[in-house]
Amino acid sequence: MRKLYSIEHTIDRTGGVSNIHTLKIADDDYPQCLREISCPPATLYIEGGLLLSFSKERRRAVGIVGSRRCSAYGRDMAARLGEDLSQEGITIVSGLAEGIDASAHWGALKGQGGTIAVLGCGLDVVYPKVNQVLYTKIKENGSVITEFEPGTLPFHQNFPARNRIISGLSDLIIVVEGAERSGALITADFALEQGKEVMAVPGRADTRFCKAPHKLLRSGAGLVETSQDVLEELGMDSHSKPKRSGNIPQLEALTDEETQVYRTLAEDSQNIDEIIMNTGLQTHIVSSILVILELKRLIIKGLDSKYHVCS
Amino acid sequence: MLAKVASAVLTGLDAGLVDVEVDVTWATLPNFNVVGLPDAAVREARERVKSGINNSELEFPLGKVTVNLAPASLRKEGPSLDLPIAMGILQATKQIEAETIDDFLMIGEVSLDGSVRRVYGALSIALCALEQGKKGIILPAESATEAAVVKGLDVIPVSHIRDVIRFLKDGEEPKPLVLDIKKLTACTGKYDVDFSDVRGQEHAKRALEVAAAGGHNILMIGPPGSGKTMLARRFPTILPPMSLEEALETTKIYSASRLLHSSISLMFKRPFRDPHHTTSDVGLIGGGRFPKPGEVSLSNNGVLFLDELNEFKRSTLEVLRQPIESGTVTVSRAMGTVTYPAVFNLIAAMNPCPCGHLGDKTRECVCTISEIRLYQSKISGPLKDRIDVHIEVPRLAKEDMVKTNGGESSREIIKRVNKARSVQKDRFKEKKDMLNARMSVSAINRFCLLGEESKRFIENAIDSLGLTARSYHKVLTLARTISDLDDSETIQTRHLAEALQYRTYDRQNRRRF
Ligand SMILES: Nc1ncnc2c1ncn2[C@@H]1O[C@H](COP(=O)(O)OP(=O)(O)O)[C@@H](O)[C@H]1O
Ligand SMILES: [Mg+2]
Ligand SMILES: [Zn+2]
Repeated sequence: MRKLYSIEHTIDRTGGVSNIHTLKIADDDYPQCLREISCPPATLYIEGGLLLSFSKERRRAVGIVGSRRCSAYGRDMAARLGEDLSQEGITIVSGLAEGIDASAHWGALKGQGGTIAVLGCGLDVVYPKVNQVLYTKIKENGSVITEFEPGTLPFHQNFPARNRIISGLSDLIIVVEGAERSGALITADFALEQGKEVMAVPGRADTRFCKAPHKLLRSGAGLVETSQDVLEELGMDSHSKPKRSGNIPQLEALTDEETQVYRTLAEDSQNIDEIIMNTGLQTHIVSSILVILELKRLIIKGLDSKYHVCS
Repeated sequence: MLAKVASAVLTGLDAGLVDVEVDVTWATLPNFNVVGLPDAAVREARERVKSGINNSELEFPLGKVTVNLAPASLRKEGPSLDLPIAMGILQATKQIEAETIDDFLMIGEVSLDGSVRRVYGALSIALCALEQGKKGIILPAESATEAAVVKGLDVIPVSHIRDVIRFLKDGEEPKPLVLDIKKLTACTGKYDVDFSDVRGQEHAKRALEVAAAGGHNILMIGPPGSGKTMLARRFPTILPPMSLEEALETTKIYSASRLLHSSISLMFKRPFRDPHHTTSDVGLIGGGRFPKPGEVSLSNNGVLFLDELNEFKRSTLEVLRQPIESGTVTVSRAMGTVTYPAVFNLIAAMNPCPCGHLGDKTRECVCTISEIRLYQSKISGPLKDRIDVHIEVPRLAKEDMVKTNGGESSREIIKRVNKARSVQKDRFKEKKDMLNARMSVSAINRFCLLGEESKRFIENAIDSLGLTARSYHKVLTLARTISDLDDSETIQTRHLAEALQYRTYDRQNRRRF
């Protein structure tokens, strides 16, 4: 059995706790939607201002959950849904875990709806450590919240409790990827108990990551292909214009060959050999163009060796 | 009567002269004594020599035989002194009376039936004979091919004690072995593999070309089956052909390590060594009770390939630092130390993640980001600092493998490499064997000057990629090599940009999803 976390490797005390804001259940600003669930958290510890405006304005929220261990497809879907729904003004709620959670948060940071991360540990405990940058970004642009007091370590049993807050804050839960018995299913159960809608993104049938979403789909959860499916379920119309219109930023400043490389990447993310094949440019020229475009922040290299255009 | 025969033993890679003095007296009971720092194998010479002589229709004397190996300060190992001891005994007992015996140096192990068996390090020993002003060397036929490359020395191949006696009698038979060096060098740089075997992988091939041109070390990261080993094996085929000097040095090392095939006189192929990750430190850098060159020296003038880099113990990789830095390796032995050459191009390969499938189109990676980070950060820092080029080698999909063709042959690529090498020869004229990758910081400051535009470009890159001073210097040396390949005297922005492409691990901000 793999250990869920290892204290030495993943925990890093950020020190100052001065920015932490606390909300008691009796406070006016305490989110109404959380009061309505069974055993609502008595105290919420909060960093980042989004939660307050979220509960005041009674914004719509969607939880996107899935497993830490996931496929590139799963990460892509979570990020895309996070971004597209956030563009519609919807706040994305998730658990700041690696994999699906992190992708959903990253996507959501690009839209106006923002994102709320619900932790299973104290606010001064960064877990997992790989998400340090994400953690800081969400504190600046969204909210990181928890019911656990500062210093609480990410114990196993904290996570199911954390999941009830994710579903409690959300109007709808989307499960992206997860194995047979995953935390995502626990969140979905809470959502159903709390009378929320549950939807799922179908997975690749030949992987174990499809088990959780497919189980939900079989028992009647709504199917998500695009954000449109979610908006319909929420009874919302799409506000934002069709995106990814392909207008290239700073295009004038690029040479013909640079434009050619950018264009082929705008069509589809590719690794360097595919770019060489698709553009017919010489190898060393493509090599240097990719670096130039990267430094202009027009493209970015993924961990999977593929280059993606920055949106 | 006293007799003296010249011989030699290996000390490290070079050979030292040993005078084998034999005295036979009849006053006492039969006795055999070897003095002058002999090891067990030398002391056992008596049994082999006695039977060998008796089985050659000659007589081993029944008197007191004293063998002195001078100088006493040299440690004598192995059975290669059997033949000179035997000849000394025969000369001392007047069974042979050869005035010419002083003109020759002798080595060889003697079998019980009098035949003469192969010894190792013959090339170094032949060079020692030449240095000592000998007319020739008498040695086992199996060792003669490598010795025969030494010019100005009669190399007499013998298979039996009888051959030696026949030769010393009239100097006619056996005839000296003569090699045509021209014919030998004709096969220089011929390999069984070629870069045109590799389909696609244009990026990796170009990176290897740059590495070959400037002598840069390489790390390839890619899923299993992506062709990392295949690419590495072809790297020697795009290195310049070995010079005679390099070939001699490499041959000496292989001969001393007992790895030279008896039919090979000179190693003209650049070596490719791929030690397994379980190889011991001694196996890697050399040493042992009877010091032998390790893998770093066996790859001298060639390639050291560390496959599955992550599987190597950290401590094992740390011992590679000295040879990478200095091009030599010093190992201690019973008496003092030995230094072996260890100038090699390092190629390391590893999987991108624990499951191996990150970036593989045909299989899904199931690792979490922190697992990937941890895995990639496991490579020893000091070793990473000595690797200039790091590239990702993605796996070709089957259909792409069929679609793409082989591309350029090694012959085409090596033309450009040779050109870039000759530019470097002119640049570093004071220093032989200098390459861009081996430039010191002061040489970098002198030879990697940047214009205004390229300066602005690299400053921006340092900021946005977060380059360290060390990796900044690596980028400059790589850009120097790329501009040499481009036949450009100055380093241009495009050269710097391409150099940055080969610094995968300097990227701090990579997309995580
Ligand atoms: N680009 C390629 N072109 C031709 N054959 C390839 C290529 N990549 C892989 N192969 C084939 O796959 C085999 C395995 O490749 P190998 O070099 O052992 O991969 P790795 O070392 O990355 O695991 C090779 O022996 C070769 O037959
Ligand atoms: Mg391999
Ligand atoms: Zn993996």
